[in-house]
Amino acid sequence: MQTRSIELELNGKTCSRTVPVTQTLASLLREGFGLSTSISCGEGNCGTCSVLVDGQPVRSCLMLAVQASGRAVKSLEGLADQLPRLQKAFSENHAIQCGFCAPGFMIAAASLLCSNPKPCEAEIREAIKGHLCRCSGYSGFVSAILDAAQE
Amino acid sequence: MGFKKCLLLCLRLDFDGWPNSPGMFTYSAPTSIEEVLDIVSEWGSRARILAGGQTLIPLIHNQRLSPEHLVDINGVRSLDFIDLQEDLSVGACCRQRDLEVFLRTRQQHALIAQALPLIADREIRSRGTVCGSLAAALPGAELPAVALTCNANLRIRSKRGAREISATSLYREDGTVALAPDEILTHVDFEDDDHSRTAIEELRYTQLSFPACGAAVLVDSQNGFCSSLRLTIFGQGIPAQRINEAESFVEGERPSTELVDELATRIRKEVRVDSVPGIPADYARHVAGSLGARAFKRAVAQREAVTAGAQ
Repeated sequence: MQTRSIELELNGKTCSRTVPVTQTLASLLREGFGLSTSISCGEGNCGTCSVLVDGQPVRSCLMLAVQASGRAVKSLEGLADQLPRLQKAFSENHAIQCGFCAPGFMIAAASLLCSNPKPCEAEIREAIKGHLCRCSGYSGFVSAILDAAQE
Repeated sequence: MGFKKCLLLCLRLDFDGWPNSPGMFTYSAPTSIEEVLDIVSEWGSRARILAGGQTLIPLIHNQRLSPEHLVDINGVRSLDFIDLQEDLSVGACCRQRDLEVFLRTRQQHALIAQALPLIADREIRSRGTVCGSLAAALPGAELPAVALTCNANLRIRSKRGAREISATSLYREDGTVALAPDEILTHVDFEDDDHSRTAIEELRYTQLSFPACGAAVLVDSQNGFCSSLRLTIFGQGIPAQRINEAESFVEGERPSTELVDELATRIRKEVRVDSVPGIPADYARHVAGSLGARAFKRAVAQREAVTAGAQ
């Protein structure tokens, strides 16, 4: 199997790895680095594996690990400054039920709040529309993000 | 072996064979267009171009495509550009999101600006490229329909030479794309829409599915008469297509309720529809007429509002 050496900035730290060219970024983050990035559908439908690449939210299952070379990747663990207020808002609004989709929703929320600190409900719904929650707790997510924006 | 250990092993095997890798292929990341052309000429139909990968990777994952080699063009700097003079030129590596943000503050190319936010979701648009969507032309994708409506020109290169073709020649009647395996779409030019009024309408079953049906419209009018109309219908069972006879029927007419109703009827007669699961052909044809008429009505209403505002 063809492999390549890559170097990327992961959650603020420079990391080097040799990865198979067929490996997805989602798999590298979860299995290679042991991060919380969930993998569900593996084909870009559910949004669970979303991470930030150079500040932009992307589906890590639709990006090869080799393509992350030279890029700054942030998973949930890298949202240090935003994480406490998001966790508090998600918890208070019962946005997390089984929690499987939470990393993806939090990445979407963090990315939205970075570019638009005071989003309206329609903007929030638009920002999270690519994310599936199998417990169907969508209203909880919307109110949690509205709450997080208030702080 | 204990039950727990067996279960863990099964899970482990599952993860190794499944999301870990979308398929088996080799990979190259050239940095110049000449190298890309060399590679695709050598591999032919066994290779695929990887730009955003938002169409390609799911297709490989679903085993609907099994390329032996992926050519990643993201390292070719000369293909990553947006150039807006009067025409809009977009390179093969330009992300849909970048063009969306670029056009947000500009008055030109309204149809593209309206269509981009409708594509999938924020995460897909961050990676997905404009040219990738045009070259893949999945049924229901917005950008091929926009290219047809805007009379876009596509610049294509291969080791055999360069050629330029219109969107109407690129998309064949059966929905396939006239691109040879050794060719690459390097950039697309959208001609200046000269502040025409535009609208795009869609019907989706769910927020994330491709539209079952959609209509893109570009209208020019003079003194209250419609001087030209370009109308494209697209959808999951509808190869993106211009509705030429309905377009010429409207030209020279004054927009009215009767005209809009007649336009819907003519679209339903003219549109070529394939039946797909969940979207019967008759239904798709009916919706195509309604959406086409609605988009036309909305575009024309804009024209009047702008003229009234100017007076």
